[in-house]
Amino acid sequence: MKLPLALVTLLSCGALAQHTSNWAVLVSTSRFWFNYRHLANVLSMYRTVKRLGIPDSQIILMLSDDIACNPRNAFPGTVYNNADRALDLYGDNIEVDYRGYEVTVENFIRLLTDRVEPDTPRSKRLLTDDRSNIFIYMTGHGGNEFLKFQDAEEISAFDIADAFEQMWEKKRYHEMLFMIDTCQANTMYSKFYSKNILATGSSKLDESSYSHHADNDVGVAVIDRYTYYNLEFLENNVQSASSKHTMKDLFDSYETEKIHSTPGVRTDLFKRDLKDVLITDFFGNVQNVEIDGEDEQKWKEDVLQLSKLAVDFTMPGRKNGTCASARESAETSAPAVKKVGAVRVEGSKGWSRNAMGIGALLTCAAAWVAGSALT
Amino acid sequence: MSERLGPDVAATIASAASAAVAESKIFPESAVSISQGKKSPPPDTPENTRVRSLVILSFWVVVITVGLPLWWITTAIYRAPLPLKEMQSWADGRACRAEFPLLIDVEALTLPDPEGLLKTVQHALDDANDFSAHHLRLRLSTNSSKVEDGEESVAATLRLSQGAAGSPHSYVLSPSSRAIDLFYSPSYNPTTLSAFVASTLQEIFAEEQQMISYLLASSAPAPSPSPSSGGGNGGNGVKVVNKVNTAEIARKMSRIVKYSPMYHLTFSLFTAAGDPSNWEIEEAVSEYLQPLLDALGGISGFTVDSQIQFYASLSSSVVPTWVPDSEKEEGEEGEEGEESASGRYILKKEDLSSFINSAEWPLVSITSYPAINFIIYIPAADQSPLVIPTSSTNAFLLPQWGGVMIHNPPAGSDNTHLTKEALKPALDIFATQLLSLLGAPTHPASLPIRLDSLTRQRSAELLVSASSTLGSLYRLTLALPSISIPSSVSTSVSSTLSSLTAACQELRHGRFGGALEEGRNAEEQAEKAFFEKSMVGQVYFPEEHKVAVYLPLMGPVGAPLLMAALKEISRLVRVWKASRLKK
Repeated sequence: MKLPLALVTLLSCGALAQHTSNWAVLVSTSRFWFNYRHLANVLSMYRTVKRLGIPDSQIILMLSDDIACNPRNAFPGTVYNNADRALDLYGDNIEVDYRGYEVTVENFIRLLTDRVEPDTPRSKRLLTDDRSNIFIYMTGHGGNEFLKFQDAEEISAFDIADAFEQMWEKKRYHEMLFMIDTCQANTMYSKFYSKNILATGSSKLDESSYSHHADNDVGVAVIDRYTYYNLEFLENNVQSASSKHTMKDLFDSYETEKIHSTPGVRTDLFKRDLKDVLITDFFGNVQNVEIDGEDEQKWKEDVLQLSKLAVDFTMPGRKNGTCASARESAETSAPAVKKVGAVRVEGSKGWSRNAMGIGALLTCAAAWVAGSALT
Repeated sequence: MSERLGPDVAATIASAASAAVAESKIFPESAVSISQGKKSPPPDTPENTRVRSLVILSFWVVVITVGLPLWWITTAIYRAPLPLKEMQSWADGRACRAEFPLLIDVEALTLPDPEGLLKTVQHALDDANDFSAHHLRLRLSTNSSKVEDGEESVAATLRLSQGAAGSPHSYVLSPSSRAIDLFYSPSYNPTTLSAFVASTLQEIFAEEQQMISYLLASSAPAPSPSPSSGGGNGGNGVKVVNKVNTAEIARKMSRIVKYSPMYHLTFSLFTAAGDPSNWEIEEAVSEYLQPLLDALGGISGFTVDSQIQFYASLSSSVVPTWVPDSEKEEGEEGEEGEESASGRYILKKEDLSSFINSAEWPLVSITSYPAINFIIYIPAADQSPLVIPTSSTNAFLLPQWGGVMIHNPPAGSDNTHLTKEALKPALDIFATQLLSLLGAPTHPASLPIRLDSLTRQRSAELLVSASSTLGSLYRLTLALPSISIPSSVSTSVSSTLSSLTAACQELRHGRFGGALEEGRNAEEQAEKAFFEKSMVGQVYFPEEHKVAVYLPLMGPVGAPLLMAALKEISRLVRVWKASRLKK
């Protein structure tokens, strides 16, 4: 326990150095057809993080409405983020985790803090740990320090800040990127106080965020400006997960004239220099790899053979001591529970069943005849 | 106005007015207003005033005695009492000083003075040890001591015996048991022998010690260095060694999957073509892997499943490079060697990091406990053989996730079926990878000792993580005073505390299995307490919200109440002043 201070700091630096998984939480909070662009924003981000390698199991997609199947959609089953309609965002590989009225403030906070019902499916949970980088993207209608959900309720900047603090306390993330596209977006991250959060928003206090352009056939605006220019940068520069572009490049690409509002970046909670933060640290999923047999040649022993030989020592060793019963129960329940797959149902071929069926039919028929004869 | 009211009413008002005029003689001040034509209500009889005062009073009594407490009780946030002090002391690591005393039996039947040797070795070990929580205890084993083995597990048995004449001291570690056979040279010198024994034991348990000290150190909150920490055993050399290894240990720790009482193992066969169409994975797992899983059963349980995915393509960013055999080392980017007959496709390290095509490969687990994936990838015939040049086994490990092996079936053989025997090499690799994913030390060759080490490591991990969860909960309850704390949290916390105390006791007595069991319970209860689902709610309400909620309710009710009270009080004051004036 009494390790020298230098060692302790060294340890903490080592622990900070890398993440092992990437997660994304993508939330659109607006309902109704005319908010088409918010869903398109989120689906575009979804496409981007998926393109850069974050698996669906690590993306929590919250879509507050189903505009693809809205009766007013002239292109049923599709969502486009551009008037050229070159890319259907609602293609065949979409996994929506929270849909429609499930997208509520409560569910969002429950998701972040993992205070969920015990029977919540894995796909609806943010199962992160202290080595996970999380990218949180939110879009909708908001105002000073709040964001509306479903036109019915709102989440305040304080709520999000407290939720993030709880996540930090429980070591539920390593680093976080918070991106929000809404009116007065920068107020939403102004209340954060937890470590290792990098935040960016589309507009400052008393500024609106604007949509980029409308598709006349769809009839509504299809994407917001801030998201549009983010995507433009990501599409043009970050082609694959091995891209070396940094967050600084992304933030430097923001231009107020184009976005029509003042995008903000908050870095005071974030430890690393933005020049060293790869975009794929948040948008992609680059797995660390340890190549087998690269350096640890010396202990290439046959573990399987050993485990067989060592049975006498590993198993009886478990049977003594005070914990024997607990261990035994663990053993009996634990090892390799076989999953029951599909079982072929054997049709019984015996005559007895057929006879019984015929008998039942005949009885019914007799009863019917008797009944009609009596009346 | 009087036309509309009708003659009767008008008459009444008129009479009342005249009454007021009559009265105005008594109160000359009010006469002014009367003279301007404004009519005032008839004076209250003393009876009326009294009744009105009582009515107002009774309203206020109801509001104060019933309304206020009701409002207070219904809007109060229930916060179950938590043993905050204890929680904090656990979080700071003050409540329990985790100890890992390892008992080592020494059998020295041929040695003349085993006690003396033991004493010197013990001294040497204690002196060299700068991490006192993890220490080795030697015990001279006699046959009778076997009986009491039940209460404390023996970490290893050291068997001293005489080696061949002229040979130096040496030791052999049995790979499948806890026995260390140490052969001392017949012409031994007690000091060198004791030094050798001490260094042997240290070497065997060094890795475990480092891991545990890393775990416990990382638990300590922001370093608050005590001035004495630099002093002590003066093992400067040892510390340097520690520092050198820190990066290595951090790397090792970063690949470990978080402890869970259950894991799910998925064995996947991804083939770039349509064959092999089946594999004897079930037989292979039950024959080769099962003994290992059984051995690990005391620490964690496992469920196993398998899948085959045909025509599984690599993601587009992974492009293997063709390297003809002749120029293996030189030009990796050399000319497209399609015409060259023999050669191989190699995967660079960047390719490997995005090798898993998570968009298309079905690797999602639906179990509630963590999954570990093992993948065998068989490349298409036109991309075969696919090789990782730096790997001797053509395999790699993804930290906290699983392992991948690229299998190139021998050319010309029947590729439609993967037999048990063909899977054996892959399972060998997966077994090693599984052990390192679970965190078993790589060092001593003996599997039982490694598994024991794993038990101790996992107990340390659980202890640390449950304590830190308690600390998080402690800080959370202080930081968010408006969050409610149901009584179930308080029960879970006290259960966590008792389990932690028990685990600490078990550790101190060297019963590591029991410690793991208690640690598991502590962790589970601590998680339950922290993730109590009713501890959510919109915690923050801005002031405007409160005004918006209370005003419509309090406005209509509160305004008449307040005005009535004010009027009544001013009347009383007036009466009181008048009575004083009279006097």
